[in-house]
Amino acid sequence: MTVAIEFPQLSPISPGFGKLAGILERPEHDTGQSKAYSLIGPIPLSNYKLADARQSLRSLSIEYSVDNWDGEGAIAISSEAYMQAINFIEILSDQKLPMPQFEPEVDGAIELEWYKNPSFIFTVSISGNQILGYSGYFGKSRRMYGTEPFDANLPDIIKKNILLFI
Amino acid sequence: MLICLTLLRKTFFYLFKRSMGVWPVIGKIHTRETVCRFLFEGDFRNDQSVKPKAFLPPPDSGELSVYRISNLSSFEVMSIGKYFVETVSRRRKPEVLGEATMKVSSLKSIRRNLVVKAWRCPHPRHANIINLPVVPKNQTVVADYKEIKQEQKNVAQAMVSLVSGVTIYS
Repeated sequence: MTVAIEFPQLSPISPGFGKLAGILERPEHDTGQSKAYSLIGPIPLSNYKLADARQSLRSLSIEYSVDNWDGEGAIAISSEAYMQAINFIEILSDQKLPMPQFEPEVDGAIELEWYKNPSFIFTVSISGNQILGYSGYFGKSRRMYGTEPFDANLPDIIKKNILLFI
Repeated sequence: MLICLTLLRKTFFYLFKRSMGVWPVIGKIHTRETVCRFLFEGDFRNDQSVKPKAFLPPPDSGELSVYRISNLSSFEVMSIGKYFVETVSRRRKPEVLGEATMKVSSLKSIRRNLVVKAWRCPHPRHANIINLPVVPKNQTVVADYKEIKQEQKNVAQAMVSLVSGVTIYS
């Protein structure tokens, strides 16, 4: 038996949101228009974040899918970069790490950004060629940048820096 | 009589140059000067903080365009953005939406060789931050290209932390 209930008007910052999100599952086909949800068991809050992140990535890849999107010769986001970014955020979700914001880059890559304040920021650049670029600024005393190979695992240095944003 | 005329002429030219945002821009840039980077769509967040991408130079270039704004009122700075920068910008959305200011002296804390050089073309108050890492357009070794790109991004992130003021035009 499926019990249809009314989804409460809570925002992610409301005190009861996490608790309620734990017992409600949003159906795959749901576009957000419907207010009825099935009560089938505990679902982690990170699933919602993953779905939102996927949606943001999809919108980004569509919006910047043509060359010269900035009027200054920028390259369109490649499908390889998009697929790799999807893989990346799935790994983040599996490891319960915070989701980033997404930005297009002029060379067709996708930038993933974790941001606390102007002096505490970390970015990962994904261009679909199995090499991740990363750059972090954590105050004057701690700056870093570099590249890491990317296969099925999250490189340790990148994971360590993302953990700073929990 | 002659003294009065000379004074009048000097006052007129001072006011004229100041209204054009031209004065004083002669000579080397002093470390105490303030420069601004004009902001376009997507260069800042909802909380009015600047994104590092606003401080990324164009591909194949190690120079970032800024404007010298010492001794200018906020209206004069905005006028340079609205009536000059917008007209010369090649961006798809060239509307100038704000400005981020920083002290010239603070740049040294990022890299010793980062300097601001007056480049009075196409505007008398135009200058370039030079010696930024250059990301080549055609780099055959992917790892090298990515490394330089991240270095450039890291410098941009550091610049964001040095921003002393952000003005978003309403």
